[in-house]
Amino acid sequence: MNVDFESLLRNLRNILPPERISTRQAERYLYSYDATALEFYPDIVVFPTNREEVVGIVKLAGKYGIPIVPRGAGSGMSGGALPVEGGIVLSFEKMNRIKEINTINHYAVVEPGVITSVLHREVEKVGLFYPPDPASRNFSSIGGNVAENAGGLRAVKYGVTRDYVMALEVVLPDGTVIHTGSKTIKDVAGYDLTRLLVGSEGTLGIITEITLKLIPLPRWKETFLAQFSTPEDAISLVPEILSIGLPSTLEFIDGFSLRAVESYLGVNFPGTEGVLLIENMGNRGEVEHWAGELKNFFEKRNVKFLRAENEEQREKFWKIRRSISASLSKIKPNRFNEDVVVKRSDLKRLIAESYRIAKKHNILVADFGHAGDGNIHVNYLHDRKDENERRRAWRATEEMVEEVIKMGGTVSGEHGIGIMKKELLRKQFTEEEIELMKKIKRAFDPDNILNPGKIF
Amino acid sequence: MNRELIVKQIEREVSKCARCGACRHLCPVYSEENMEKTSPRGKNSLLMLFLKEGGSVDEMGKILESCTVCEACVEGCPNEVHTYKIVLLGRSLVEKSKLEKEAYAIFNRNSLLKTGERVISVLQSKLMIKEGDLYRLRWRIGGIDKYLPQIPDKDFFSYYSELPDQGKFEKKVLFFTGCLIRYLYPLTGVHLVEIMNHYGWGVIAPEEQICCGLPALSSGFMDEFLESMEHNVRLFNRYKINHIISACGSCENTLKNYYREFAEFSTLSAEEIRVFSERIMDVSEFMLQVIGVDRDIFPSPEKVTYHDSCHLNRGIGVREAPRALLRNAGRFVEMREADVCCGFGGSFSVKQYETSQKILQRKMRNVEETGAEYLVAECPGCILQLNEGKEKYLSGELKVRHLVDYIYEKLFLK
Ligand SMILES: Cc1cc2nc3c(=O)[nH]c(=O)nc-3n(C[C@H](O)[C@H](O)[C@H](O)COP(=O)(O)OP(=O)(O)OC[C@H]3O[C@@H](n4cnc5c(N)ncnc54)[C@H](O)[C@@H]3O)c2cc1C
Ligand code: SF4
Ligand code: SF4
Repeated sequence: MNVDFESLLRNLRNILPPERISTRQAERYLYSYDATALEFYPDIVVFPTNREEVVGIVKLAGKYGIPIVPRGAGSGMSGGALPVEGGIVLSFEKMNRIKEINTINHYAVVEPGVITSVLHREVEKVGLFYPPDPASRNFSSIGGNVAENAGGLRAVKYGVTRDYVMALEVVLPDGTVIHTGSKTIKDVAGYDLTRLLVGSEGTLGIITEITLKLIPLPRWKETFLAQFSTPEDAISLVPEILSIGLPSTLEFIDGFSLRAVESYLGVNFPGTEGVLLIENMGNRGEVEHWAGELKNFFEKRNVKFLRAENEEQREKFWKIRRSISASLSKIKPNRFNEDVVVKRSDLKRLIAESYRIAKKHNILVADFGHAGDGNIHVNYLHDRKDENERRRAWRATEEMVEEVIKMGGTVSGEHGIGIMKKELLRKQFTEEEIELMKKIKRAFDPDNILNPGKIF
Repeated sequence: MNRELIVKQIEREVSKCARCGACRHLCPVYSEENMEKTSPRGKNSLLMLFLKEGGSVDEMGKILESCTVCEACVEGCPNEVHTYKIVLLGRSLVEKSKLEKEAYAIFNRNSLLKTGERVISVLQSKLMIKEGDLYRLRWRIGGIDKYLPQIPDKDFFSYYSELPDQGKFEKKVLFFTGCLIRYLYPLTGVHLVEIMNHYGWGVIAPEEQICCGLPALSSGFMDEFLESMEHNVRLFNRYKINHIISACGSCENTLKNYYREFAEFSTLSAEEIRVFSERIMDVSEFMLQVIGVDRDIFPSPEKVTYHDSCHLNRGIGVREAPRALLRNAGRFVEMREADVCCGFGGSFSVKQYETSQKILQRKMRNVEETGAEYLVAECPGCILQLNEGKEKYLSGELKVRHLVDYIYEKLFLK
């Protein structure tokens, strides 16, 4: 790349004050990584605070032919925010205002840098609810959530980020500002560009404003923890449980993950090799009725279960689920964390395959995750420093994905493709299908300056 | 100071970081500044970079300044990365100016404050302007506008020598005063002794005790910190008394946890440190669990809220006892983000003045929202900061009190 950096920087300084442009090595290093822990240095990092600045920066990037990579909180698990070809990282950390919470029409207008849980807190103050809650909600940004179409623990009943994005303001790679969608509940005018941009991983346009749908805050919660003597027993019940009525959360934890949590938290579930954590929220009558039916269902089948009687107990159930990641890192420092999805009727086959493959490659595996969505995190544990083990874990991961595709599933339910799953994507789609996606990319970004090197 | 050992410790700690980002928004500094370099993940990544590739130590020093050592990042980290420890160790590698060095050597041995206290309180009246109950620097240096309470002309030990003979009590506790209670808030110490005496406990406060060493440690003076630690441990271990109580969250955390965590740099044996640190007990827990003062507190209708000192809360794990006492004493209201740092962080409040003030403003907004008449905390460092916050950012009649002083009022002044 032959870029006249001196002249580029001179021009950048006309748009941003010096403290919002980083060029020193140490500062650039901080934007070289994300939650994948891989590192690629950007050449420049900028911190815009409004749309006009973004437009100015993007136009300059185009003029100098230098890649531009939008970045939220850097909590991505597929490397989406990594500047693999260098260039300018556009950090939205400082563009984080909630512009409006509309209590009559139930929407919020936010800048992309708003932290997901900050939005939760603010809308709940006025009796409204933003359902998507990725496990990373306390640190991920809404911009990142939209760009990855993040899922979450309440997706069974409420859906994912996509289901709440009403409208977007987007800066295209040539600096044009477009608006997609609208603040109305129904809208079929033209192609649905909003849905195309959600989950586009920062490769089609830079999102500078997001209008999110809100719903009234559910006031009642019921939470169950059911214990089974095999993981298969637990997971096979998922379809029937979903038929009772959709819970907001239905999480699965296998025996291996549970053992890890036991030693980490000092709790004890002897003889339990599979757990389902089930929660429902909504209005009291409806949720209590559902809870009664679930209870009967469990009793009829002799399933051992606990029902949270208060907030404290509920917190204890959730702590088990939330501690899995930390507990697993105590056993092995690294894992290939697959977020594959299958139909709920294939869940049993999915975990059986994951164990078979683990055995074949002599590698530890932990399965847990959003069973209600068919989205299981299959984790092949390893130590990165042990090259042989790392390779076996990767082989296992690839074979797992092949099985998932055979079942008609998908390679990524929520983390996105980024750079981590480019090869896997090719297993899921035909060449023609991928070529069509590339054409769409070219229509938005003919010079390929926006987040190059991702997805394909 | 064993540089190699320090570097090794840092590497061991940093290598646990998975870069997930979960710590970012727990950090009070990051929450105000919103730039990765101020986040825990950023700070420990940078230190790693410097150790691997070298770089300007000045720059590293600047980055490591942006930490109040509140430990919030550890609580939320799935891998238990002790970023505050990385920061403290990192600061000890940064070159200090001569002036800073001299100041710390003197401060740590208490000599300046001991002999010069009277001089200081006279100087204060010349250099500072009285504003409300507080003094404000007459000349602002680099925009820094700090407030101090009036420096008393007697330290705690001058009062202590006038109190009844503590040896005559059958039951006894040891008292670690800490510098702020000793020199700035001696009456808090006196109140503590009077409460204890009232319930038949004698309070033995050895006068040879010196600073816990946290100010030195957090400014990167590892040797001076170790000197404090070795002196205090040896001194208190000469007394065969079961409890060492303290009314300063930061001192307590240093005595109980940092002494152990940094043990491998000192000449003390693990046993000596264990015997010392396992006797540390917080005064609120002592008042509640051992002597049960709550029975005698005269409840009043005033609204009171509580700010968790970071070190008392996360370091020692004391959350409930102060609240239980306050529920007895007044109409207790929980404030939002009670456990978020007040922005003091010792020298942080000067070196990173603007960020410190932003954190403080947020704290004061949360206090104001409760409508409380009393704001209680249990660390004199927080009290110093919160008083400044009240003066600068609140217009109402809020009263800031140390828990011990508040309980004292409720027991004896009804
Ligand atoms: C512990 C942990 C738990 C997680 N749990 C979940 C979970 O339950 N569900 C889930 O779905 N994900 C989860 N994730 C993954 C991650 O948090 C999400 O993908 C999240 O949406 C990323 O947001 P971010 O702000 O960190 O984005 P970043 O990582 O900074 O960026 C992600 C992508 O978004 C693009 N982007 C960011 N901002 C913009 C913008 N303004 N315009 C255009 N593109 C933009 C970037 O270019 C990049 O491609 C988890 C991650 C961690 C570390
Ligand atoms: S939470 Fe812990 S592991 Fe995650 S980035 Fe912060 S320090 Fe690293
Ligand atoms: S100790 Fe507190 S201020 Fe320091 S990095 Fe951790 S959270 Fe931030």
